[in-house]
Amino acid sequence: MSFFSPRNRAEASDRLAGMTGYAAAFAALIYALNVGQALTVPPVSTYLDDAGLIGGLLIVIVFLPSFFIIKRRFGGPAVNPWKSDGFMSAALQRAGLTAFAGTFLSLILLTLLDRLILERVSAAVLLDLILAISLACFAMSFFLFSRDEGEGEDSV
Amino acid sequence: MSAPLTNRLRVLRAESGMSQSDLAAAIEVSRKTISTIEVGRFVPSTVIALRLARFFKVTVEDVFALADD
Repeated sequence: MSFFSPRNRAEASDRLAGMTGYAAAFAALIYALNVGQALTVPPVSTYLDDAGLIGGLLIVIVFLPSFFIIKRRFGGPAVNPWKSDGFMSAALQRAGLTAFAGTFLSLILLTLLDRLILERVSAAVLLDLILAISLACFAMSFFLFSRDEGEGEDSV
Repeated sequence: MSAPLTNRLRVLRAESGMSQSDLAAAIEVSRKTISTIEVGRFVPSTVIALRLARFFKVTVEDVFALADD
């Protein structure tokens, strides 16, 4: 069973859920690089810009096609990792709720720090920062909820 | 607060001589789902509980029970 050929729809759904977590972590890193780029000066900002661009290209070239191949592998309705009954789908949904809470708290914190932060950075940088926080919350909580706790034996 | 759920899934599976992967394939879930149900880490949906009971030809209560029962 290779990465692109899961045994059945349930295994495909788990695999897509895992990929969603990794893609979110990767996207969080890219948004964080964008924030870093805005707050630094050349040549550091140029390096960060290049790294963000390469990261974005990797998501488009690697993650999206892989995701699509697995999603459509079994014909019929596309495999949807958010709507499965399985453990990994539940982890995705819990991570989504945690990310919402994290984003909401971050926004409240930012409004409390308005004079310190909001007056000094552009709206574009703030949006990148909030997206980075939101995606990082999602990815970290997903990996935490879905971590292997040693229940993996498969004996008869 | 809901009471913890216990289950006899590992016993039933062993009695049937099946691996987690075999059972997972039979009821159309992933092996990770079966393994996390067995150790009580994941509380399955009603649909999965019913599929498991039907597969082993027992009632849902024969597979799952509240810990304080």
